[in-house]
Amino acid sequence: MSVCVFLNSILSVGAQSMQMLSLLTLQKSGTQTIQVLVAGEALDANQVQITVPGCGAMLLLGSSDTQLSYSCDFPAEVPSGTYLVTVSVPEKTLQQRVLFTSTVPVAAAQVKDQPTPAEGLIQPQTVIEPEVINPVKELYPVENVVPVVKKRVITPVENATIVAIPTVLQKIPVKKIVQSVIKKTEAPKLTYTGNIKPLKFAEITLPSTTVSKTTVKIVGNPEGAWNSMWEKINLVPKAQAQFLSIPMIIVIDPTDPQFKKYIEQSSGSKKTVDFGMIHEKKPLTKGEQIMVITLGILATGGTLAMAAPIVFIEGTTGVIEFLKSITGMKPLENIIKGGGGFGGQQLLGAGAEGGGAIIPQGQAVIQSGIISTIIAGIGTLILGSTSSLKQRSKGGDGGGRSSGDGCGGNAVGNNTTSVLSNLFRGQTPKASELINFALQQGWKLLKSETGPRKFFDENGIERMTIKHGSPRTPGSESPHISIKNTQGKLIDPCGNQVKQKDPDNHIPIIWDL
Amino acid sequence: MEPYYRLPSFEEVYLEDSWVRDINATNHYAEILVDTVLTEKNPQYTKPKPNEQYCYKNGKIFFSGPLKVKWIKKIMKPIPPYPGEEITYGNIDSFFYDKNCYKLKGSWGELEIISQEPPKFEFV
Repeated sequence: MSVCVFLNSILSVGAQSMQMLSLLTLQKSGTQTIQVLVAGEALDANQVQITVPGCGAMLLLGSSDTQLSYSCDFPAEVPSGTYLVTVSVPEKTLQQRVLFTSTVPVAAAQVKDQPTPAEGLIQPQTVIEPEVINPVKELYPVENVVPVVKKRVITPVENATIVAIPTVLQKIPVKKIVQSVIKKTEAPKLTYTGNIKPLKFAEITLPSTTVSKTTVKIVGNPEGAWNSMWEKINLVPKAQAQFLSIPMIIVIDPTDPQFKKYIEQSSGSKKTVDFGMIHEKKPLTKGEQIMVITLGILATGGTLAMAAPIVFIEGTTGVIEFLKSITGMKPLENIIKGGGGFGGQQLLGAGAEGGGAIIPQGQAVIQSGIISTIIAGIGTLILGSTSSLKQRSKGGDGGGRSSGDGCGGNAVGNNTTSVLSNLFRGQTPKASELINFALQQGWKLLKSETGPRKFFDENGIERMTIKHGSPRTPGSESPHISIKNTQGKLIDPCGNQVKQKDPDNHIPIIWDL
Repeated sequence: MEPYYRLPSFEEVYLEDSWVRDINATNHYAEILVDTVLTEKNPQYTKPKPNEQYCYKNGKIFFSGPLKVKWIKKIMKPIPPYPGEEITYGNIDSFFYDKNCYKLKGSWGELEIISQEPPKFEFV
């Protein structure tokens, strides 16, 4: 039996959720039990989110009106140390209920009022100086609730439950807690969660916690990948966030063949980007238009089993391989199409400290204030910043165009490709627009009576072929183009070389000739 | 002028997006090796491989004993291949015939072939 020591708990309040944070000291890997005690009215387990970094799968063992029990499986590779346990529920819920706290079983009742980590373990270094508020008056309008002050019940037997109820409620930013408490982590490791079936891409479970400053090394054509992953999101009223208690972010599985192909196509340069710095420069606010970048899926199901967000503890450097997409969010769209498996919700973005963005059906919701660990974790993956880039449109009028190139910088320095990529960004271009584009480049049109329209540059290179397509075989039924660069290599609109048989060499257009 | 797919053995291939791998043309013989797009009705049709637009199979278009084979325009400049990819010379953009005169055109050039016997398509 491993020893878990409940240290203390901190309840924090945000605009969208309330949190209780406590510390868990892990001596050995294995299954740990975490209990959440509820005072006041019963709390629906589905409204509770609980996270523990390093926990491979969090399963709800059982629930009653006053207690929720979870099983947390710590893989062997998770180092011993002190970890932050976060329990959060929507604020609306808490206003109708009251205090709750967290306990963990202990092997020996040696817990005192102050935490006593086992020898050799990392000492928690919580240095929070919270703003003390009156919990009853300010947070709990329910009259029949009596807050318990400075009371701990310790049962001096093995596997006893230690109950602790915070004496004060504290407004503290998640970031501050994390930075002061968590000292250890390990590099992210991809594993599949058993309770969530992957779509085309996979979910991941990683040792994780929340940090707001993360250094991520991007590998594989970052110049081309960076901007292509950004999207502009129109924020929607905060009220809609209430319906989004199940956050998700999208995982790019580096083992996915499609992903591998893109990475293989990417060669050469590497780049290190400090996500946290970007965050700190531009906190998200309601009503703001933001760009988001999506790196992974976080999903919490009804059982609260979850794929933890990809997060790296401060001071470590994790490697995230960016998906390179010729049309910006193409792989992401694949996932969205299959989103029903995740309840139809996609969380595409989240903000920096104190904010998160949830996007149902292409819209974003900003959560302000102190947010849950889960959301904060996403915030380390999905960055917010201002942008003039347009959101990709599906159907309708195409949604307009962007002033960006849509190719993540691949097109930078190559005006031809940049202009061309803009034609494809956010909509399917018309054949006439492509012809105009080609003529503007000074390319010569060669149109035979029986063949496709072909454009040649001044060096005789066949730069663009516009084909009407044919219903004779699947895949050819719609108009499409093929593009070559100045060397005659087949490329996509962003200038990336593509294979002859690749769908990316078969770029759909609208026929209006 | 009739399109190639009216010819026997060409009904279920789609040459406009097929890739020419090589052309062997002499005065009395013409053979075009093609990584061929198959239509759904082709007996050898299978679902396209991942990351491929069509179902492709290697085949050849050949004229046995043509009366005349003429390069109207010969380019045969290979498309710089993607690493690991086979060299090809482009698509068959058009392939029409009128009686015994067959005209094929693509990025690789233009061929005019006079033949009593119609060309055949075979998988290789």
